[in-house]
Amino acid sequence: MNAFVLIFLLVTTGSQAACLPDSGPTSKKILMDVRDIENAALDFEASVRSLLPSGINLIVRLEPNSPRTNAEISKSGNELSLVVWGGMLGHPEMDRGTFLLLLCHELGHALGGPPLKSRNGWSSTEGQADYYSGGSCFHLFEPNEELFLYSALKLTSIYAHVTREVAPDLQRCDEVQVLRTNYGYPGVQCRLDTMIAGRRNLPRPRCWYFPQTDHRINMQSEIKEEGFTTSDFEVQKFSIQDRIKKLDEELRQSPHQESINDGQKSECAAHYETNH
Amino acid sequence: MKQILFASLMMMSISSVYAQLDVTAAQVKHLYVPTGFDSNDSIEVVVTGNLPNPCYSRNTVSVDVKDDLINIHVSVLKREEKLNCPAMQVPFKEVVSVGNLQGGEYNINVNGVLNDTLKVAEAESGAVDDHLYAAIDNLEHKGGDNYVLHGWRYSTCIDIDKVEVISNGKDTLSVLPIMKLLSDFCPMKLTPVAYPVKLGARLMKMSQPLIHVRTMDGKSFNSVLDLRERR
Repeated sequence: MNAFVLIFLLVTTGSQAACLPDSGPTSKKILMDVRDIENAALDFEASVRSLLPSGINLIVRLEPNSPRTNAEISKSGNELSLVVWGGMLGHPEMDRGTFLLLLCHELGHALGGPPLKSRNGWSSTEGQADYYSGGSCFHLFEPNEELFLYSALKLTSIYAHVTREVAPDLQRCDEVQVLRTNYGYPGVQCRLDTMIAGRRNLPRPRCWYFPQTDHRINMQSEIKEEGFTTSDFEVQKFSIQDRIKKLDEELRQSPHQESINDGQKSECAAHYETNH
Repeated sequence: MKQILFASLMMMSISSVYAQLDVTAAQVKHLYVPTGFDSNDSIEVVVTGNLPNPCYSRNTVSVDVKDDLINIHVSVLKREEKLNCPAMQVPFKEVVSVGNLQGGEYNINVNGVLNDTLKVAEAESGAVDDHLYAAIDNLEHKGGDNYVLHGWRYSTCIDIDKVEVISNGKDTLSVLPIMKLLSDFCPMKLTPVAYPVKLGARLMKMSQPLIHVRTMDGKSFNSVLDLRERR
């Protein structure tokens, strides 16, 4: 019924560390970070418990010994399992706020709603999970916008490091305008823009999202499904009519339409200009 | 009068040689649909066909995705020349970029003639895309089921991890040359690479299978093998 956090701390053995000259200080640093991160994970568990539908459990698993720089959420029955690997935990840019925002992103796959990665699936797209993380989740931990921006910039900088992309910048804006929704990974600048748009309750950026009416079909079919689907979560917050109304509003307020019809800068760029 | 007559003859002559170009639908023969795509991939399918004679040439390919239907139109240019059009078929291959798709099953139609289904899996929900394929630009047959993937390594910080081969159970083998990261420091150093790979014997039973190799740039290298003579 209640959500809970289960944390596994896998401690590096001394003999193993001794074989590699650089592993001693590295292991020490990761262990220190994990202690801080363990507390952040506990805070996360307590704060998001109210967001989870009844009967759904959440497990957060930390694997500091894995070199992989990533995190992932999976679903099995009524259990959501969230894992963060060591390369991510020990990244120089990682701190409490960045870690919480990362957890919010992963939770956003389960709670973020459409667009989903798959028509009959449960997981929101990467862009939608980013949008949720900035909008519906992270404010539970950090009401200060400056600190949110700092965390969002650091998290997307880690993404940029892994994908070898140019580092994102708060003064820039991804001006790409897709013709179909990107169901994969948007660029890191786009992901930063999306987190900020979520935080500020702006429409989803057009660098990954294309408003389309067939989302309505998805929503209708989701509601008819039984068992554990994204709609289980969504129904708690929005009625179908509310969601359709919201989509219609996004269609009207699309930055793409503004830039084409009015020759104005995109909302993203204009927004940065007025706030920084 | 002579001048007018000469000009008229010239115009007729020119019009017979430089006739207008007609755009028509291509004669498509086969549609290859690789497997193993997910909602994080840029999806590609391969269409083969024949141009009726050398006076035809490849033109544009359009892709229209509406709900679960993918309509592909492959067109050719036809020159209305009376000369230099020997009666010989010219095979062609089009690698069609469908782009990123939501997970699910799609029906593909090419020129209203070819049909097949495409399955797009739901990508794992990782925070960041950390998958990397090798940069491959050629495939060499070494005899039997043995092949070599030729390509480039752009830095010493990456190396081949494993090569996975997935069959669509029909006519296509997807080859996934997965790379691993050795170091965070990635100096640019271009070196040629060759990765041996054994392709399944079952595929070799087909006369013209497609080998679809996923590449680092998010696209693919595609080779239609002609095994008819080797049997």
